[in-house]
Amino acid sequence: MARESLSEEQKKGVRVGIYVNLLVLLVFLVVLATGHPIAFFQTTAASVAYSVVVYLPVMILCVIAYKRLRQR
Amino acid sequence: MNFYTPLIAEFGTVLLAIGVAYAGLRVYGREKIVFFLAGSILWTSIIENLGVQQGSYTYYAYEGLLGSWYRGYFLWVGNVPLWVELGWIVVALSLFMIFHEVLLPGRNAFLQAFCAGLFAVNMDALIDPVAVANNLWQWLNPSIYIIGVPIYNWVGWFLLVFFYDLTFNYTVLSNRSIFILGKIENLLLKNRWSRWERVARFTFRIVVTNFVVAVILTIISSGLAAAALALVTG
Repeated sequence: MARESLSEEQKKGVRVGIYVNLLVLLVFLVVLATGHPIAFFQTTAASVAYSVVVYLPVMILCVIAYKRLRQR
Repeated sequence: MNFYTPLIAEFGTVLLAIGVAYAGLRVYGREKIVFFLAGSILWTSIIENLGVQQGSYTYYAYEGLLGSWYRGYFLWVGNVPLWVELGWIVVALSLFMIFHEVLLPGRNAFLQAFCAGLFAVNMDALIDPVAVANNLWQWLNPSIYIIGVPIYNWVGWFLLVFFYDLTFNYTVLSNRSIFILGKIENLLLKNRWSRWERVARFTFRIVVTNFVVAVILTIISSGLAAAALALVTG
C-alpha cells in the first residue's frame, strides 16, 4: 500500500511499535537473567552477550526506522 | 525449574502485545487491526496446534507447578499458550509497521514481506534459544539443531511472517486477488469487497496459505530428521 505521509497519530503508533520491538529484548533478557543460560554458551553472561549481539540488526533497524519517521 | 520464569514470559509478552495492538490501532484504525489480530490468532492457532499434534514441540514443561489445575501457563488456545500466539503478533505487527509505513512504504509487496520475514527470523534468533534454555517450550523432533533450535523452525518463522504479511496486505489493506485463490473466491463472492466478504476472503486465504506452509515445513522437517538420523548412525 502506497502511503504518502503519516498523520501525527499514525507516527505515534509506529513509534510505539518500534519501542515494543526493542522491549522484546528486555523481556527475554529478564527471562535469561532469572532463569537458565543458553546451554551452548554455558553461562548467563555469555548468553546475555549472545542475545544482545544477535539482536543488534533489529536494534539498528529500529534506530533507522525511528530516524526516518522523524524526517517524514 | 522456578515458577516465575513462565510468569515473566507470559505476562511480559501479554504487555508487549497490548503495546503493539495499541500501536497498530493508531496506525491502521480499529477495523484493520481487528483483522490483523484475529487473523494472526487463527493463523498461529492452526500451525502451532498442528505442530504440537505432530509431536514437533510441547509447551507443558511447567505443568502442575502452581497446582494440579495449572497447565504451565494461564491462557491457552488448544494445546498452545495464548502468550506464544501473542508473541508472534508482537513480532509480525511491529515489523509490518516498520517496513510498510517507514522503511519501504509503497514499495513492492513481496519485498516488504521478505524483509519482514527476514527480521522475524532475526528476532527469533533471540527468542527461541532463550525460550528453549528455560523450558518455555521444548523441541521434540530429531533434526539438525543450531543453539538448541531445529533449522526448520527458522524456515517456518520466515514463511509464516512472509505469507501473513502478503495475505494481510493484499486482503485488508488493498483489495487484491492472490493468484488462483482470487478466482476461487469470486465463484462465491463475485468480486465484492464489503467487510464480510473481506472476512471470508481473509479466512479462506489464511487457511489455504497455512496449509501450504504446513506442507512445506513437514517436508523440510522430515528431510532434516532423516539427515540427522543419517549423521548419528554414520
